[in-house]
Amino acid sequence: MEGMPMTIKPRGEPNLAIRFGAATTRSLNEIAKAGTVSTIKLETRHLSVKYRDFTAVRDISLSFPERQVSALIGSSGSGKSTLLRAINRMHDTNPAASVEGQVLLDKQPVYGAHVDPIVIRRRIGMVFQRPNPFMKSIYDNVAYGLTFSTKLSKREIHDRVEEALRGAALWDEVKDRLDDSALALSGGQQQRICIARALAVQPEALLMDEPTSALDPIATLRIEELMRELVKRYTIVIVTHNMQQAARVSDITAFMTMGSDRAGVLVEVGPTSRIFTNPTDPRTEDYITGRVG
Amino acid sequence: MAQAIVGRRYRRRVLVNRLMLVLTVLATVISLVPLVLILVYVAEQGIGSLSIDFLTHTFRPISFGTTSTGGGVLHAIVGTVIITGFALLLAVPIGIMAGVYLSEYPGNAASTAIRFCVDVLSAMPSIVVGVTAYVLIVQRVKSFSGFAGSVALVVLMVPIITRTTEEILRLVPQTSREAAIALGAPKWRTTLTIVLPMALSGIATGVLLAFARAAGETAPLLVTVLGNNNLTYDLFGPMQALPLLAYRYTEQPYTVLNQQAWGAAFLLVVIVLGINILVRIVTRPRSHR
Repeated sequence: MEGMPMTIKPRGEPNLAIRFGAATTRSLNEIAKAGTVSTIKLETRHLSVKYRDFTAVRDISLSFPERQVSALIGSSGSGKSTLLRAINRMHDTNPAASVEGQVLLDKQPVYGAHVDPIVIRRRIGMVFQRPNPFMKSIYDNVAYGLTFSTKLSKREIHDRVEEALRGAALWDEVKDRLDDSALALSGGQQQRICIARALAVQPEALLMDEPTSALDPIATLRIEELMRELVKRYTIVIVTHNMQQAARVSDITAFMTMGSDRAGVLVEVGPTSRIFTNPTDPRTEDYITGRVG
Repeated sequence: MAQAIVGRRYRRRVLVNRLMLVLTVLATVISLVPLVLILVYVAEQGIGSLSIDFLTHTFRPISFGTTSTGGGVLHAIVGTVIITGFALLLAVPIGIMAGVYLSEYPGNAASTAIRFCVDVLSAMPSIVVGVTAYVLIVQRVKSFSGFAGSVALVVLMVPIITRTTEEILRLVPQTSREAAIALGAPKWRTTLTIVLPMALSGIATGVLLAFARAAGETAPLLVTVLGNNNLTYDLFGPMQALPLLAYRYTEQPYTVLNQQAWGAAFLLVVIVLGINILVRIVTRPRSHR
């Protein structure tokens, strides 16, 4: 079965220009050591997304293993973000969008009848391309997701906020100014606020839509380190333009491209090390060697 | 070489540029002239009537041969505050909620229809609105009332509030809404706790502008509120209002009252101008320091 990490044996020398960061090697070793098939947390089956008559994504079947980082790579217009947003039902808010096929969370249909999209979004958190903290204080930003549909006491909310900020590696930087506006923080800090905000709801999976594309290299590095930390507890799906980033942080990589009718299609998926060292599809090879895109 | 760089075409362009600049400045000045004339003339005529008595007393009957000052316009100030205030109380929730609907549910048939109706309503002559209120309320209850005037003003205020609210809410970035939705917030909560707070100062602007517009309306009050020479707090009886008083007093044969009409007009201009300046201050972009 494609998309499932069986035991991974690096096949010979890396024959491509992309060099792996230490994180990748480490994660590969982790997977190799585990040596077992991990549970599938999220799955798409023949998923297509249309905006009115235009098919943005066609027939995508992918499996995202639990507590691993899966990266969606591909050039602009290949439907990566559209696919990602289908997973937590963000397309529900756009009357022009329609979703066909299935998304499964713990084998349960996300688009089933009587499934509350709000419950789905609380179980699958999301971080966006541009840091988008609310025009509120740091504390209120992180606590926002707890202000409804949970009956937590003030004390419990405070604990969850602290826990989330620690989880996002931000606590020490902001603990003395929790009442300051979140908009006064730097871009990288704002993005970590957005991550903390998602963590506070205690989701099971985290979708990240190019979370570092608006950040400088240092802030990017911090977010990537954070992802390696978070993946110990959460299932992460990340969309990225940056192939080095995919190589550094992900365990699984899926390559998407724009088909002849401009619909996004899946080309290839597999363990990150294999995709980057030994892609089976020539289009993948062209992309990761920088010949296209 | 220099000859080639500063050519005939260049000089022509500079000339045309200057000419157009002069024309646009001229047009600006012409459009400002009436404003300045009105302000100066009203101030000149009205400022003399302003006094503590003018602001704190009501109408005093005038008889020939005495040096009566004709009292003050307190009853009109009170009437304007009550009538416009009550109208605001009704118009603000209706206007804001309609604006929220237009902005958060754009593109469906209902919102297109509502937007069209609101635009038609905002272009409606105010006397038509007043006469409608007269027919529907004054004739039914067989009494002129401040309430009927308020209802007429509501109809004039709602379109202003609705459209400004809609425009301002559309400026709230979609990413803010998405952030809340992705956290599992229901749509109504997103609107209430994220979208509306971000647009608050803009909505306040719309409300104040609507208030200023309504405070100066005369025609709809003429046929609904009627006018009253006594101080009254009864919204369901005839009342007095500043624009109404100004209009009625100019018809009077007494110079004292004619003078007071100017005084009331001046007061009205000060209020409307004050609100506009307040709006400027409220919406002034905050410096990031």
